[in-house]
Amino acid sequence: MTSAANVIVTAISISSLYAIIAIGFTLIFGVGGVLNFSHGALITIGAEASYLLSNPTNLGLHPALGLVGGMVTAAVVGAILYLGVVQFVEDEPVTLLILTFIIGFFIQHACRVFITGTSDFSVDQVTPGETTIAGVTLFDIDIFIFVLAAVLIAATGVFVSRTKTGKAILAVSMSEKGAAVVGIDARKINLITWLLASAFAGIAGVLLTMKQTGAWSMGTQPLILAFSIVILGGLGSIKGSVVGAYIIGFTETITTSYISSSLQGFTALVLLIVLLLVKPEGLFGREAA
Amino acid sequence: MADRSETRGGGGRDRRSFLKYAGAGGAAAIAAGCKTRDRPGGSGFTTTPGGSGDEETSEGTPVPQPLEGNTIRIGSLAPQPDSFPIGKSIWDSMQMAVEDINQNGIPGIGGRGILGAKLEPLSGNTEASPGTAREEFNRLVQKEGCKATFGTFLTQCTLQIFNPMKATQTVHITTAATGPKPGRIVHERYDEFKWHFRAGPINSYDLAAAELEFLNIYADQLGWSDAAVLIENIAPFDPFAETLKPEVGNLFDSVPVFKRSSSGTINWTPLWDEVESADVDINLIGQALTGTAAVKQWANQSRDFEMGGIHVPSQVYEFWEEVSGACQYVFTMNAVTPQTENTERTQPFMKRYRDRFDTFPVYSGPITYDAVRAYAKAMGRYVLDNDMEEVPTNEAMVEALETYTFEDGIVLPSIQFTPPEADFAHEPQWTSMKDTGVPVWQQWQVDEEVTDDYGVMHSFAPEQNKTSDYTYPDWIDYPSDHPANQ
Repeated sequence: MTSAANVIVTAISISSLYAIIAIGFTLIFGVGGVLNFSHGALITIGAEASYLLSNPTNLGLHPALGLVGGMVTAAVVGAILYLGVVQFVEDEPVTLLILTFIIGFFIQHACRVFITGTSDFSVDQVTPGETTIAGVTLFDIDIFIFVLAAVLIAATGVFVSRTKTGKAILAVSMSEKGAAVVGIDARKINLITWLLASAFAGIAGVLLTMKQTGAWSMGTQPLILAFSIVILGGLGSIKGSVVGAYIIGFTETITTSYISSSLQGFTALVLLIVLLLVKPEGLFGREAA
Repeated sequence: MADRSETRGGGGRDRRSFLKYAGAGGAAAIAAGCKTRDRPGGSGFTTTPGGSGDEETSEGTPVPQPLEGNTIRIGSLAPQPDSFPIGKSIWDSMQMAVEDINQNGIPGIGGRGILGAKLEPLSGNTEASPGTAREEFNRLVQKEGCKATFGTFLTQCTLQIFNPMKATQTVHITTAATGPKPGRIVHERYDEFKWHFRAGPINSYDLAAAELEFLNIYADQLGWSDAAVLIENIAPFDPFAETLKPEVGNLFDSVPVFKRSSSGTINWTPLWDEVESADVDINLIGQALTGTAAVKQWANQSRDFEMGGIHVPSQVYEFWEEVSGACQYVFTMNAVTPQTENTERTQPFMKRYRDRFDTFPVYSGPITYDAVRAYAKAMGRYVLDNDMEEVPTNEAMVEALETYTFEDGIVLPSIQFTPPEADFAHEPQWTSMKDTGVPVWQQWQVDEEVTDDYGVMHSFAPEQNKTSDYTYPDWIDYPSDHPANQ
């Protein structure tokens, strides 16, 4: 039987990753009202970019550069996606939903065809090794993920609440027309949001690959998880996304550790269905419908 | 039917050696990369390195060429033959075998091609999808006119071509899938599906038997008292798990974990926590689809147990680089490794493959190479024994493959297919690891005597194919009396 300490450590690490993914997903929904189903593909983009940059079979750069490269590449792809596609159909939610869904699959399949094929791939960890604290062994990558996630979440909170751009993001999320009245360029704010959210997805992709491994289809499961998390937390709520990430992460880790490893990815779906039926507005946010 | 020079059957038929045409142009020539010779006059043959191309037998009589003027097309059914290691090895090795035969003739007989008939290889990409495998089989056979096909990775792909095989009466020799079902079907519905043969690997029941034999001999020696077993939950591993489960407990003090791991497992940390908490010495794995993540996380987390069994990704030469050496100490069954000398022909083949493709083949490569040459030799001998002047029918080829033993293998010294009455018919005859030398137990090691900047796929068992001792993970703290410290 796995020790409770191990389960908690694993759950915190994976929940932190989910939080990074979910914040990006909820930011785009909160500001632009877009359910971005290509968010999973941006996770894959980050992972694939880090593979090209830091795997020894490719450029073999330091994993930290792979992390930065993965983040930047995903941000650039996200920006291109917004400028090239999304901004033209922002007012057509169904078209937009379908487009992001298809583009997401297109990006993932392009990664399969042109970069890594169907095989799993790996990159070295930015912080290999382990540390023992109070008799519990912690893997350094888990500590790194937890700290980085905390920093990113805090920085996002500060950015949104304290900076001019952040306040503009809040304004656009409340009322695009109202924001326009006070001179805020909603398209520019949407672009910044897409850049930020995509960078988060890229970081999550690299960290997932460092912690586990990567694959061309690796974005699909986190996308479903992100969807479950933001429904749980409340669509558009950053606080709700963080809380939701930890609830989903802990539930999944406990079920896979104590019941069956085959439940990976399954628990989140069960929670998603139950929540949509019982509390569609989530814990902190607007109604999903 | 004319008298055979060498026959076999259930329980062993009479054999007499095929000396009439066997001469200097046989295995030694293939192994040595000796002289090359252009055949004058428009036969369609080209010169390739790798053998003598002898046109006379050892007795000085010319090798007969009754099939001269014929071209025989054979098809490769490989998943992504341009990139996926298992598929690439199939296609690359088929090309090498065809070139060898076209240049040097049939192993042990010589000449050019199959008694004058030129072989032409064609590539089919199954994409590891059963439906695509069926389409590609039909294309190769019906559109391209292939007389036989080789390959198929994943038993579902093999099974999907059973009906087309029956409809077109075409021989297919499997060279990369381990599921036992095809052999069972051939046994039960021989008249319909006798067209299927498997040159290797041995089927999953035999793989389990080999693992039990290995553990019986080596577990104590290597210091393994307690074991965990994690076998991927995919159909090809079902027979393996079924065979292992009732037996493995008899070989250890305890087996506290015996699980089928989900093929969708990405996060191995909970499972590794469970195995580590069970305080076992060895984690016996069966992994095909999930191997990379499992190994990477095992090594990154410096888990307190050794690991190995069947680990398909570790059979790929590039795997070391792919996981930055995380596979060091992981062991797996394999048919051959770049180091082993299963037969005198193994290393020359491996070196030629390396020189040509800048990598080493996966198990499917040597097996395909053997299968194509065994097919060619069976055809040649059938033609000679029956004084024929035309290419044998596919019905006759089934008889030939059932009858003749191929003695020039690079994985096994000889390939002999099990008879129709065997429970698993038309499979490679295999008795035990100790007797046959396969499977070999390969471990990724660092060995600067071989190379100082890459991992080495050494074999630590069985004895006849051993190239190095077993090595222990350097992050595990073993007691002083443990074999790791001896």
